[in-house]
Amino acid sequence: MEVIRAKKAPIQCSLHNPDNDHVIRQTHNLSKLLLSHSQDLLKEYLKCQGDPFNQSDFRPSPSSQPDLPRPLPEMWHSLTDEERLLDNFTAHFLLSHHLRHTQEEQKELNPNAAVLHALLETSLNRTCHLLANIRAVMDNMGVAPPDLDAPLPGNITIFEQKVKGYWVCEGSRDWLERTERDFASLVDKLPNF
Amino acid sequence: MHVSQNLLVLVLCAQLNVLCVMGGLDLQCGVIEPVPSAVELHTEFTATCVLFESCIRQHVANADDMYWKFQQHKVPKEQYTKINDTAIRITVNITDELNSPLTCNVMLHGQVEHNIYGIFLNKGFPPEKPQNLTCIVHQAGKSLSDTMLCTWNPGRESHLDTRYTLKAQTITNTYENISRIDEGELKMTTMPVFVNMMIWVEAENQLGKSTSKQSYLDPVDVVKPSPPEIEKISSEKEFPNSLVVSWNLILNPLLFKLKYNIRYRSASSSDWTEVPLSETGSSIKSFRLQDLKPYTEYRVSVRCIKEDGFGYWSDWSKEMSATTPEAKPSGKPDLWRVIGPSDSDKNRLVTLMWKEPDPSVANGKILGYEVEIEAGRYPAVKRFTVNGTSADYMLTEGRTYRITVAAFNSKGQSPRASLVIPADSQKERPPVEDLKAFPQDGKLRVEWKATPNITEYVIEWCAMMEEGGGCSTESIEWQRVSASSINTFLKGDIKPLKRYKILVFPVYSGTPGACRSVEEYLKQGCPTIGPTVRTRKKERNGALLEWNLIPFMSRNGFIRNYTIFYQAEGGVEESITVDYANRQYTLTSLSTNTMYAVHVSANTDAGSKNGSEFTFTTLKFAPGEIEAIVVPVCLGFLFTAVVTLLLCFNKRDLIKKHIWPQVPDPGNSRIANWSPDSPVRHNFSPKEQVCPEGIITDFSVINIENDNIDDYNKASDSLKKGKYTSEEHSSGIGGSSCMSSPRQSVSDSDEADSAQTTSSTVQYSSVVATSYRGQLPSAPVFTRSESTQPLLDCEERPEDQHLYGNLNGFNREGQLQNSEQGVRHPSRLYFKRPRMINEDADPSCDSLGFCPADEVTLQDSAATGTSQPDRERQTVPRNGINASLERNETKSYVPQQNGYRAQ
Repeated sequence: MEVIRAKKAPIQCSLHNPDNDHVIRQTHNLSKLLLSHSQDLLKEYLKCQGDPFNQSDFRPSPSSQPDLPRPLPEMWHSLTDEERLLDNFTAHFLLSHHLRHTQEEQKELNPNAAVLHALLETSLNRTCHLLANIRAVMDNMGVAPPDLDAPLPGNITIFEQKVKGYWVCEGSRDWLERTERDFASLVDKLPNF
Repeated sequence: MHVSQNLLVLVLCAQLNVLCVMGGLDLQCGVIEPVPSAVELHTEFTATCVLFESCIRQHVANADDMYWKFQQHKVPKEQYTKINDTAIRITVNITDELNSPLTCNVMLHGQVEHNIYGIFLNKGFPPEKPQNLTCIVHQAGKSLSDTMLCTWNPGRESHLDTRYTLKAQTITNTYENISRIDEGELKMTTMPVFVNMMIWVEAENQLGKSTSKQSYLDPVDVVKPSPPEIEKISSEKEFPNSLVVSWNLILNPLLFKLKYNIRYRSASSSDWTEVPLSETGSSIKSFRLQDLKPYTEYRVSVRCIKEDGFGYWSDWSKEMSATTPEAKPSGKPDLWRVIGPSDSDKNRLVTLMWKEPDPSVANGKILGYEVEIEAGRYPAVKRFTVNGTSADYMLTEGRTYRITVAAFNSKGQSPRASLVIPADSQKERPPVEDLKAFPQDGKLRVEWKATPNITEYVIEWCAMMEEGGGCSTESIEWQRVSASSINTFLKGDIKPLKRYKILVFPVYSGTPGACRSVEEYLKQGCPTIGPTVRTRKKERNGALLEWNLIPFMSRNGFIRNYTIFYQAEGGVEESITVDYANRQYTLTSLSTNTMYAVHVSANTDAGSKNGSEFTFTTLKFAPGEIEAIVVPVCLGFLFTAVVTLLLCFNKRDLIKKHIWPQVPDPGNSRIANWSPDSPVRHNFSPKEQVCPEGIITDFSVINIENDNIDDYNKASDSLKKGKYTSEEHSSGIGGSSCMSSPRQSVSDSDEADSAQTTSSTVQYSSVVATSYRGQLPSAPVFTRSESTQPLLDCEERPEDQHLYGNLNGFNREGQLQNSEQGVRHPSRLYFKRPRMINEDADPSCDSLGFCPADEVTLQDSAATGTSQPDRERQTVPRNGINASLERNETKSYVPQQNGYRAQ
C-alpha cells in the first residue's frame, strides 16, 4: 500500500529561485487559470446556497463583507510593481484563509455539493500556489513580505456564513482579475523569448 | 551468569538471524562479533570468535582448538589469526562465491567437532544514486491528472532489499511515496501548475542511502496531453486535391496552448506524410491538407503537444478516412494487343487489351474507354466505346493500323494510349537478343541485350498449360519497361511450380517488333507423379524399357533427365541416368531368367519423383534360339523319314515278301485259264496286273450299313426319274466311308460319273463275319470267299445297275464298255470293313447281323459290270452267307482273279 503524505509547508519557506522571469510568467498564467476557476466557483457557490443566493439579482449588503483589501482598480495605474506585489500578497494571503473557512463551512452546510467542494479545493490549492509564486517574485525583486496575521473564523450564523462565503468567492475573483492584470504588466516588461 | 549470557545469545540469535548452534554443548560456548545485517561485496570483513571462559573450563579447549568454516568448508589456519587463548579473528574479502553461514567451531577431545556460533552474511551493495529522473503528468478531461508518474534508472543491482522513495516539494507542499525500484507516482489533491516543484528519489538499504539529483520542474511542462479527437474531414468538389481536417479541443486552454502534428496517407499506402510543424499553428481547430491525389481515400491522424514544446507528444488520434473528389484521369491506359493468325481471307483478328489506369492517375471511377482505330490509307476513323478492358477487331490484309484508347470518368478523358499494328506483309523489326529468364529474390527476372532505336520494351507472359502451348488472351499479362532497361522483374502473381512463357517485344516508336520468348519457372519442384515404366521388349540379357511422358501440369519443373533404378531379385540396386529426351532405354548385361524390379525417376532442378515400380523377368532363351534348335531337328527327322520311305519304296517287293506271304492266285489256276471267259481277261491292261505272276490279288472289304442301303435306294429312285445323279459311296481309297452320309452331286458329265463310280468299283471282295452266333467279334474278320457258286441277285433290277457306274469297264452283259475308261480307272481290289447291320433296320439281314450284300453285290457287279454296292447289300441270300461263313471260319484267303463270269 503506497502512502502519500503531504504536509503543509510554511509559505515563507524558500525554494530554489529559478529565473524570476519564468516565475512571473508562471504566476501570470496561474492567475489566469485561477481566475477562470474563481468564476466557476462563484457560480457554483451561488447555485448551491439556495434562495436567495441563486437569484440572478442577488446582492447582499456590503456591510457583511469580510476583512479584505479592495482591488482598487481605479488606482491601479498609480501603483508601483512592488505595491502591486504587496497588495496581491496581502489579499491572497487573507483570501486563502477565508477560502479555507468557507470550505470547512460548506462541508457542513452542503456536504453533497461535490462540484463545489472540488472547486473550493482547487481554488484553495491554486491560491496557495499563487501566493507562493507572488512571494517568490517578491523575494526575487527584493520586496519584503508584510507581517500578516491569519484571520480567524467568526462565530456567525449559517446565513452569515453563506453571505461571507459569497463575498470570499467574489473577492477571490476580483482579486484574481487584479492579479492577472498586475502580472500581465510585469510580463510585458519582460524581454521576449 | 552463564544462564543469563545464554539467554542473551538466544535473543540475539532470534533478532539478528544468526546461527546459534550449541553443537551439542550444554551452554553457549562462544560468540562471533560483529553480527552485521549485511556486508558489502568486494570489501573486507573482519569477524572475531570469542570462546567463553566457562566453555574453556568445561571442555578444556582454547583458541588452538578453534577454527572457522564457510558453510562446510573449513578455513585454513593461515587465513585467520589467534588473538589470544580464547579468540580468533578472520578477515575475508566478501565475494559472490563466499557461502554463508560463517561458523566458529571448536574441536574437542576425541576429534568431536562442535559449532560455537554462526552468522549469515547478506552480501550486496549500497544503493547507487538513481539517474535520469523523468516525470510525466497525463491529461484528465479538461484539466490534468492529480498523479505524477516518474521513472529513473536505479543503477547497479544492490542484491539487498532497497527502498526507493519518490519525493516532491513545492513552496507550499511536500509529497513523498514509496516506489518500486525504477518508477513511482505521486498523487496530489490538485496537480500544482505554474509552480516550481522539486523532485528527487531516495534509495536506502542496509548498507546505505543515496539520493538522486534534484529535478526542478513545473508540472505543466511535463504533461502528455490526450490525443485530439478528429471531428470530421470534409472535401470540396472544386478542390480535388485537398481535404479539411477538424478536431476538438478538450484541454482547458488556460492551462496551456497546444500545437498539432498532422499526418496522412492514402488508404493503399502504409507510409505517412506529416505536415510540417511550422504550418500547424497553435490552438488551431482545423487544417486544410493540400497536394492530395484526386479520388483517393486518405487516412488522417493528429497529435498534440504543449505549444512551447515542453512535455510529451500525445498519442496519435484515432484515424479518420475521407476521399478526395474526382478529377480528370491524368494517366493513359496501358494498351497492348494479341494478333491472331490470318484466316482464309488473310485477315487477322486482333485482340486489343488495356489495363485500367492506376488509381493514382485514374482520378475517379473509370466509366469506360474510347477506342479509335485508324487504318493507314483510310482517313475515316472508326471510334467506339468499350466498358471493359479488351476489344476484338478484324484487321484487313495489307493495312497498317493505328489504335488509340482513352479512359474517361465523370470529369473528363485521359490522354490517349496509342499502338501501331503494321500490315502483315510488312517485315517485322528485329527482336531482342540473348533473352534470359531466371528466378531471383523470389521473383522472375528477365534479361536481354539492349536493342538500339527502340522506345520501350513490352514484356508479355502467361502460365503455360501444355507443352509448347501459347498464351490465351485471358491469361496474358504484360508490363512495359523503359528503353534504357535491359532487365526487369515480372510484376504480378507469379506462382511457383508453374512454367511461364515470357515474350519480350521491342517497341519501335509505338510499333512492336518481333518477339523472342523464353520459358522459366519461378520455383521448380519435384514432379507430382513419376513416370510409369514398362518393358517394351525383353531379351535374354537385357530389356528395352519404355516410360511415359509426365503430364505437363504435373512436372513442376523442367525434366532434366531420367534415372532408371533396377534391381535384380536379391541383388543390389543400380541406376542409370539418361537424358530427358529419352523415354526408352535398353538395359544390358542383365542376368538370364531373373526377375528385375525397375522404376524410373524424373529429375527436375528441384528434385526427383519416382514412378511406380515394374517387375519383369529376363528370358531363358534368346529369341530364335529355340527355333534354331527345333527346326534343324525337325528337318533332320523329316529327312530321315523321307529317306526311310524311299528305301521302303524301292525295296517294297522285298518288304512285301516279308509281310505278306505268297498266296496262290486262283486266277492263275488252270481252271481259270480253262474258263471260257479267259479271252475277256486278256483285255485287261497290263497295269492292272499288279501281280503278273498271279500271286497276290487286291481285295477289299466293304462295310454295309443299313442306312446307306436306304439312302442308296432313295438315290436309285431319284435317278430313275431321269436326272443323272451320282451318289458317292466311296468305299475305296479316296472315297468317303459308308458311315458318312451319301453326298449327292448332280453332273451332266459322263466322265465325272464314270470317275465316281469307278472309285466304288468292287471287283473282288469277301464277306466279313462280325459276330459269331450273335456275339460281336472283337475285331473285324476278313473272309475270302472261295466259292465258285454264282451269287444271287436279290431285288436287283438290271436296268438300274448302270446308274452306279461300271466295274472294270464291264456292263451287265459282260461287255467292255470302254477300254480307255478301263485304263484310266483301273479296277482296284481292296478290303472294305464289314458293318454290323441291325436286323430291325434291315430285315434282309440275318439275325446274326451278317450282311452279305457286299459279296453278293460285288459278285453281281462283277457280273453286270456296274457298281451298286449298297443296293446289292440287300439282296444277299442268307443261306449262301451262312454257308460261306461256316466255310470261312478259318479266315483263310482265297485269291481270285478280277472279273467273274456271269452266272
